[in-house]
Parts: sequence; C-alpha cells; structure tokens
Amino acid sequence: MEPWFTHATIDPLEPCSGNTTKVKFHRGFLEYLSKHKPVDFFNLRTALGVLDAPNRIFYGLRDLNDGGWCYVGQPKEWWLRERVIVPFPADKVFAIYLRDDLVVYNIRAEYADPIDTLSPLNWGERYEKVIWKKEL
Amino acid sequence: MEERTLTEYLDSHIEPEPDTSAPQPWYNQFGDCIDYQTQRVAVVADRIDHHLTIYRSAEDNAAIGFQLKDVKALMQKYKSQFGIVFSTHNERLISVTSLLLTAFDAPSPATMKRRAGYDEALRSVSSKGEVSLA
Repeated sequence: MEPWFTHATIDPLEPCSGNTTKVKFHRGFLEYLSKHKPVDFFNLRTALGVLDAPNRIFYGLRDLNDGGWCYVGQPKEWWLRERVIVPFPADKVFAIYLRDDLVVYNIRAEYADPIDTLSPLNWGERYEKVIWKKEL
Repeated sequence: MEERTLTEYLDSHIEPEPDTSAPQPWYNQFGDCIDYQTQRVAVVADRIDHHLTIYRSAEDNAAIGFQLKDVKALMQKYKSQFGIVFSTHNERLISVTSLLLTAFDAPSPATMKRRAGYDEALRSVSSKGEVSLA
C-alpha cells in the first residue's frame, strides 16, 4: 500500500515563480494523528488550507539538524475539539513543518509575533530566513 | 505507481480512530522528535527553547504535553555523558525523562520560563517510561 500522500503548494525553492511542488504526508504520521491526536487529525484540513494560501514561508529551522521549511498561515476556522469548529484566534498562527525533502512532520498553532502578526513568535531567532511573504 | 493526495485520504478517512488507552509518548521518525499529548483538544505550541515546546490547551492554556526535537542529534552529542539508550532484541528504547534532562543541560539562556517548561514536561511524562525509536 502506497505510504505517501501529497498536496500541492508553493515551491519553496522558487517561491516567486508561480510554480508549485508537492509536499508529502506519510501514512504512519496520519495514523498517529488519528490514534493519538484526533483533533490534529481534523486539523489536517486546516493545514491543507494553509498550504493553499500561506502568509509566510521560512527556511532553516534548527541548530543541530539544519534545513527544513515552515509554512505559516491564519485560517479562518479550526477544530478546537473533535467535531467542534471555532474561529481561529487572531493572536495565533497555524504552522506546518517540513523536512528538506518536503515531508510534513508537524502541524500546530503557535503564538503570533506581536510585530509581524502573520509570523510565529520570535521568528527572527528561530528561522534562518524568510523566503516568501504574501503580498497584502 | 498511482499517487494519492491527502485530500483523497481524508475524504476516505473522515473520522479519526482514537486509541482509548492511556496517552503515551511517540517517537516521530519523520521529524526526529518525541511527541506527547494527554488531552484530546487543540493545542497551542509554546516554544521553550530550541529543543522543547510545551503544548498548551487552546481552551484553558494548561500544559497538556510537549514536543522534544532533535532526539538523535541530542543522543549523538551527549551519549558519552549520559546513558540514555537502552536496547532490547528488536527495538531501541530511550528514557524520555533522561532525554528531557539532557536537553535541559544543552547550552541555552537560563530563564524562569525555561525552567518552568522543563518542569511541566518532566511532571507530565514522569510515569511513562521509555519511548521506542522503532
């Protein structure tokens, strides 16, 4: 059984070209969310919305393991509990973390930066660089 | 081989299938991190330092789990000082508590928030023993 599932989004290597690329979700990751983080399983749909319309894309997430991408957006709604959909809080952002090979390994809400409210808190210290900003 | 999209997967798996047993830490091989969450509610990630993120309930801000990043890198860097790896016949187990202590020992500015974050993580996982790297 094919273990990978894909979704098209802005190509982080050519973010201004209009080209898209496919990010990958492993079946094992999806099954873990289904079993142990069912609210996050529902919020996979929130993540798809962010990948469709990110506000920011960052590169370079770690000190010990260099590389990786972070797509960030502010969805209108998200799942607070299973089958409970509420407006997404204005002081938060929704982040999707990917390895260099575009494998998604985490989706989550984070506190927004007070100055750039479309970015995660302390983004300047956490990421190597911003590679794309949505034009408002 | 035919490729499937995540949308197709979610359309055929509309409902999650939650495990009703007690929450356990999970080694996320795709992100080389340990993930642990005790309540079925949306979380907001509260980054403590480079390694540790506390998961806070989006309902009441209570600490309900954590993510510990760079597991293999931490083990590689500190294995000479810490015996944190235990091997059995078919899997490698690591002590989550030892790994949290190892991460706490990594160079980082000492702040009250950092101390409180590690305290919350250690207390939440204290009875959960090891996690498999399989």
